[in-house]
Amino acid sequence: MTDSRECHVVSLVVHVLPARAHAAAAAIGRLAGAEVCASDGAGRFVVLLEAEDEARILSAFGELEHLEGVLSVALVYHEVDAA
Amino acid sequence: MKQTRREFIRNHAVAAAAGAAGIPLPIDAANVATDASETRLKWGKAPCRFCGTGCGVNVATKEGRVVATHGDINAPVNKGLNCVKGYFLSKIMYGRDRLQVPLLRKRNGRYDKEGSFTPVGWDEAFDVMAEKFKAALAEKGPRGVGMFGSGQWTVWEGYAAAKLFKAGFLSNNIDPNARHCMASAVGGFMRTFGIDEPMGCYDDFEHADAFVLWGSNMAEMHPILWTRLTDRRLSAPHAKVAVLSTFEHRSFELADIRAVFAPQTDLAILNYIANHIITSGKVNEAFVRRHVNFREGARDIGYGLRPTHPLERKAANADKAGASEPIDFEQFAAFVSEYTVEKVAKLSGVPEDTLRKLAELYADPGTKVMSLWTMGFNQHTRGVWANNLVYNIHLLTGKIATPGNSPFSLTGQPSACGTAREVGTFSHRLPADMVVTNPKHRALSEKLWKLPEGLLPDWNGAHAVLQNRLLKDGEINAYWVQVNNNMQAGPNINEEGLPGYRNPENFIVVSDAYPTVTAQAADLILPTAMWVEKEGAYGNAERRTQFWHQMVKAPGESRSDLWQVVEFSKRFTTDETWPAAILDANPQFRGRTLYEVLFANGQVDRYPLSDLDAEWDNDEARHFGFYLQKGLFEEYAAFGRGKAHDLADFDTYHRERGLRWPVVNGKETLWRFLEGSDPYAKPGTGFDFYGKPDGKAVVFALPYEPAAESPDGEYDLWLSTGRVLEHWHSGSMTRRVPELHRSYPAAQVFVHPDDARERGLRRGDEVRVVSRRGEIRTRVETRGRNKPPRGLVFVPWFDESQLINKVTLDATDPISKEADFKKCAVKLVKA
Repeated sequence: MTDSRECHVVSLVVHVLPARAHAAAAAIGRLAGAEVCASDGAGRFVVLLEAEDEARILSAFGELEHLEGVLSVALVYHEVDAA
Repeated sequence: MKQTRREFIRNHAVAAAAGAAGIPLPIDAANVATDASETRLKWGKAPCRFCGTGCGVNVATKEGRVVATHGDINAPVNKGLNCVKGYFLSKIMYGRDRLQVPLLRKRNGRYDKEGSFTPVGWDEAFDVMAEKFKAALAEKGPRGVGMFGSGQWTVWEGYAAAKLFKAGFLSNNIDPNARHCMASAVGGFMRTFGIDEPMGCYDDFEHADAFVLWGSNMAEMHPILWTRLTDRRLSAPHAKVAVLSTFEHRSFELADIRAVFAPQTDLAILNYIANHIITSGKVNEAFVRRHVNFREGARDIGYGLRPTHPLERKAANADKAGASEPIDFEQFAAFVSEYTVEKVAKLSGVPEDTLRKLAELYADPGTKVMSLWTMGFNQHTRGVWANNLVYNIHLLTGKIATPGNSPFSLTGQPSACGTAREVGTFSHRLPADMVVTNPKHRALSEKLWKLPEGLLPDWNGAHAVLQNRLLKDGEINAYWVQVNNNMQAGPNINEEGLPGYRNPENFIVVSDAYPTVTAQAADLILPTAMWVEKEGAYGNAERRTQFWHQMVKAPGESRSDLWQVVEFSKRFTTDETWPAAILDANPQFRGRTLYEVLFANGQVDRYPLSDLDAEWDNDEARHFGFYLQKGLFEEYAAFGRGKAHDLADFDTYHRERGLRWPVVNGKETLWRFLEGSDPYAKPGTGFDFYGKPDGKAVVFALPYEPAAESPDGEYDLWLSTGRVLEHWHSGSMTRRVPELHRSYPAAQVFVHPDDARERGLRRGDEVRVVSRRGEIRTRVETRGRNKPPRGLVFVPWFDESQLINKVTLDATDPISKEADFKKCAVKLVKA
């Protein structure tokens, strides 16, 4: 379906219960292709996702939503970097 | 080189998200140039095609196709954010089974109800359709035809369809699927305030100290508004969130106060809160004295079933469900005094302490409260009451129509407000909240439409559920469905849906982009243009009217619903549809086509093609030879201007990211009824509930009454239906996005693990969900996002291979006529 050399770059705004922020940030970092790029220290994170296809983005989105302490996940930017 | 490019994209993505979240970034990361690749695309703005939130999206087209969408950073609703459904918007138009030609059931070369779908041209499709509509009109009169439309119609589509039916066919048998969704909210607004739609707006999210979710699972169903709510919670740690529902769901994760209550007992909880406010001395007496009247409503009003049903025969006031009598504050206080914390805790299953904490959010004068609800209140056999009762507690405390004090009715469809409600597509309504039974309202409509006096029908048409019953009974014989999937969405479709569509006396037309179960039950399918394949306008839940341009062509022979309605009107003349007496008195209308008297009437056709924006296509305007959408909008807007429904002029909306009506002197209104904010609130009033003649809102005394059907010895579980994050409504669009389909391919029945164990069921087992009306086969889910309490199961309704509405009951709120999809009795049987 998709060229395996494609790379989808997606940024997300993730809200996390402040009491769980530290653990959630670590858990986000352990998700394949995810990286915490910025945080305001009050529970708001900018997370960057890189994935081979959109299905992986959707599954990562689901994994993020189900992490303990995560309140909401919203998508902001998406671009496909074709090889 | 590659690395540089990837770095560039990453920085751009991070900067965009940080901007949307309001998080400062180091200068070098934030300093991102415009992406050169974006300039190859043509970008336009549109509201999202899905829920009633009304997020703004930027839409990119390339070589005649939509290739990308992202949240519009300049859209005040979502500020650049997007949910997963919105993320995949660009794919909804490109499902492999997109309909591209009209399909008529034929056998031996002719229309035959038992024939197979055969491609035909538009002329043949409309020939057969017009013949069937004319035959029904000739035999049964205006009551023999009907239409079922949608809160997904654009503003002008709903307006044109309502005009064709009400003024052309003289039939009020037109109703939108918003009947299944927002009718109880409308009933609540009209009864309490005398004018429809919320007084507050989304800005309330950033002002409230407490949020109370009544049944609503915003985390999944309104994710972007949920993000605004969680954002407020993170900014204001004192803010509290209360989540009430009949089962535990995703929104409970943020809940400070959590309550799973027994179905239908929300009515008792609301009355307890009113009682608590009164007994704890927290009534805002000055506000109540100046701005509130009290009334007691009729009780024992039945369940909106067929009149022959035993429950209807037993009900004392089924025929006067909306009646009420004036009372005073003391009588109201006495009425709610029986709803003590002890009694309501026992009835609802919610602990006393939780109830007290909840009530205190409303009672405490220092806490600004936003109440939020959708289908939990509306799809309820006492849905209008539930809406009235939540307004009660905001009115008793004066917590209303000011920033952060906001009883807020959320909507499920993108234009439930803008189209279904505002342009008068309900079977009892005319534009701008007017009703067909009021002679003054009909007279004004006749005048604004330049039609003969006394033309418009004075009878309430058939609402959604009644339409299905009348089709089954052979009373409506020609029927047109646009932009909805009622054979999946309507209640009790086994007994009251499909029989009417397949009744040999009836001719059913379904306009859709995809072969939904409804389309497959039809006799003629008309292929429809979607979303940015046409110029459009939607109105969201906060009264925001938003426009978009046509950005791409619809595939094949697909035509917009607007084109279909207006073109079809050419096939009828006034002699065929209007009474002779009207034509005798107004001979200038004799022999004219409905197209001429309704659309080429000197008003709708007054804007020339030169008014079009040359940047964009407009297939309807080019076809008819004038700027059809602008003419319809301006004619419609005349109904509301000067009457507290003011819309800005047409061209303004193409420039703005939407405006919240009333728009007076170019200025939108954030909080209605509040002096200084709403231009219609008279000076010196403070608050002016001008929808009522004396400027006072109404607090209603209404009791708890049980549901239409409750679990018993045999059907021993409550069934609630609803949605999931990944799919929108019946899934006709989202199930065609491969990624969304794969991520949630099939519905399940969510069951409490103990209920499953008692029935010998394990997670993943195949099971039958059976009611007195029908059954489905599905699989057991005892974990996951929804956690029902013992005694209740939840089944989402997006899956057309598991039609859960074969199981539900067609009981409705007797006032709003909205069906209760949240409560009926079922049993689980191992398959």
